[in-house]
Amino acid sequence: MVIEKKSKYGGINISLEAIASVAGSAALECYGVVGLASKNTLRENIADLLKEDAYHKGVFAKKDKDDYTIELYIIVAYGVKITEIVSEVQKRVKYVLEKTFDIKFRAVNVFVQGLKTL
Amino acid sequence: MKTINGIDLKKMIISGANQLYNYYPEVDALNVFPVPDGDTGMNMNLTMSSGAKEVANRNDEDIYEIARAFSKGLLMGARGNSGVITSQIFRGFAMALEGKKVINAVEFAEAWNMGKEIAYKAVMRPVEGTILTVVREASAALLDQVNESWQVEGALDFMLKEARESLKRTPDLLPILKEVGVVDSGGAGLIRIMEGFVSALYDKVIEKNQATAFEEPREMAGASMEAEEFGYCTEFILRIGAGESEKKPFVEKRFNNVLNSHGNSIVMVRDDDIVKVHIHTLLPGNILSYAQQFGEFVTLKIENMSEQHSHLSDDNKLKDVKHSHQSLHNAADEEEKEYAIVAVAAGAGLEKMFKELRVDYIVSGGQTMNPATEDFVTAIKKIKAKHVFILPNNPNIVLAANQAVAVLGEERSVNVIPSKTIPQGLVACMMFNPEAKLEENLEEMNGALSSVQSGAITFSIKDTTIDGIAIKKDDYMALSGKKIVASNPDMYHTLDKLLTSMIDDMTSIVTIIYGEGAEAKKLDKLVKKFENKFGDVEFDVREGNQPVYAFLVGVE
Repeated sequence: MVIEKKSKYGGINISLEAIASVAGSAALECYGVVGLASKNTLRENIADLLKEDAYHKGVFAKKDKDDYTIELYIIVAYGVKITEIVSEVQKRVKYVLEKTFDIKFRAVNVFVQGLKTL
Repeated sequence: MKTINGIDLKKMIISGANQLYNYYPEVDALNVFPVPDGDTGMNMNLTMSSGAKEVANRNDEDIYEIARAFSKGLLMGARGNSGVITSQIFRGFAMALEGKKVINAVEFAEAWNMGKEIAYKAVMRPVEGTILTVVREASAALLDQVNESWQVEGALDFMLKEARESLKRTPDLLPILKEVGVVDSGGAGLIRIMEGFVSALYDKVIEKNQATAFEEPREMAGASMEAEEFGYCTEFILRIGAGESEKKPFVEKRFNNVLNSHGNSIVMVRDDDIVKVHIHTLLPGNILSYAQQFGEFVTLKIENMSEQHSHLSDDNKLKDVKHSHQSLHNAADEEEKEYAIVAVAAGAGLEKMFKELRVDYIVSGGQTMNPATEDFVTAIKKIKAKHVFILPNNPNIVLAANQAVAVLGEERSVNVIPSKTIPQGLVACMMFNPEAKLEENLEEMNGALSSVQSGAITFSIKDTTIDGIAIKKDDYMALSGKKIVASNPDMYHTLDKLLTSMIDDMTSIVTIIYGEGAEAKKLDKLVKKFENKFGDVEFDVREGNQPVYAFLVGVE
């Protein structure tokens, strides 16, 4: 799946991998985020941390009608206030994506797949 | 002091929280990372007050008990990124004190080091040039130097000095800070906390400074006006527990229930030991004597609303009603209009200027206090109009305004006119035509933005050099667009330079809006000089009462 944009010079396609790696990096810089996790933790059994080249397994961009949403699967540190971590992730990821790609994202949905004791 | 115990730590915490409270608007103003939303100071302040509240009622001699309670309070009350990091620093700090009753300087240094360790653990890719850097460098320097012969206050003094040095270096580590010319906001907040700590160790526990932006309650959000009996609009600020005699303990919920049974339109906001109450009641005396059982009044205001109402019916001058509730109530009854404008401004004069230009609703805010998306959404929901325009009047607020559009996108027609300065906003309002079509208005208003050059005079919060101009702390600096053109300790002199640089052959109108701290007389003299020099240019001087900016200048 790609995100399509049009400028006056022609079309632009941005791949999900590109979005995922930007969103993934932005999320990882957030305080309290230990790593990205695969969406299919049930099938893959444990909430493993994703390596950099597999970020797209933990980040999804979706299009409904004219706007985009992001789904982000993360693992957070144990002993921090999770609600705040999550809302900071949403804020940061939305800000970075909108600044980087100049696309509006209607929502950044964050799923906490696990906690990690450090 | 060779060692400190729980009582000492408690004093430090309260003093630290108060010091941060006193300076949080300053910290807010520095906030550009990770998202430039200007809320770091407020978030840290709320986090710290939650921690301080937890220890306020404890009297343990054991330092561990106090540190643990503080850590718990911070964790539960953590707000925002810096708040969460602060909570982790003190979580580590508390962990290092386990089983200890008193600590000396070395143990104190080790506790800070543990705080740093724990704070760093919770982040995969730490970004340097933030609060984390400040705590890391300061605690490492202290741990390196400290020995058994040190006093605790000496150790903290040393650490504070190192932390300040480290804060100064943050722009070298995080490019965005350098670009904007600020230091890290979270780090600055941490230093305020440490300043409070130090002061408490020297037996000067810092008090809350009431002059610092006491948060105004968001009145009226949904206060029901249905069965309004006219009585007295009563407002007061109560300091709980103040005064000589013994006061009753204050239970917020019970107090609120009593208010509810005595009147309506109740707004009650509590901030630690301060309660602000707004109520419409027939018998204000009863409320006052009840409230006085818990503390003493800081301010009081009572107005007779029936009086205002009869005036109203007599003269039918709805516009002149001073009582905001009434005017708002009436506004709500009005028919749906075609257009409405929402503008962001701070200062009574500016608000008046925008109101004169048919702006329906002012969202209070500006450079140091950016309104949230939520504020726009609430404002727009209150307005009955087919199309709403938003004038953010500040580059930092454009994003929040755009988000409000995204939130309301489907239900309402909302357009952001991306005005980056107050003069741009004013010009856009002047181009607004209630009779024209939406497209025409959008085109005219957007077009107007580029027709005006904006300048401003403000003061510097630190020594710096930007665009080749050296600026000292507290000096005035002149901004033309985004560029700094002059700096001088005298605000009128700086304005002189700014005007000289902005006015050219094409200039026809110059608008000068003077803010808090500027004197009309001195300004007049300066303007006269310019009027003589530029015969063709019209000078319009207005009182804006805006904070932060001594002067705002628009050149057309």
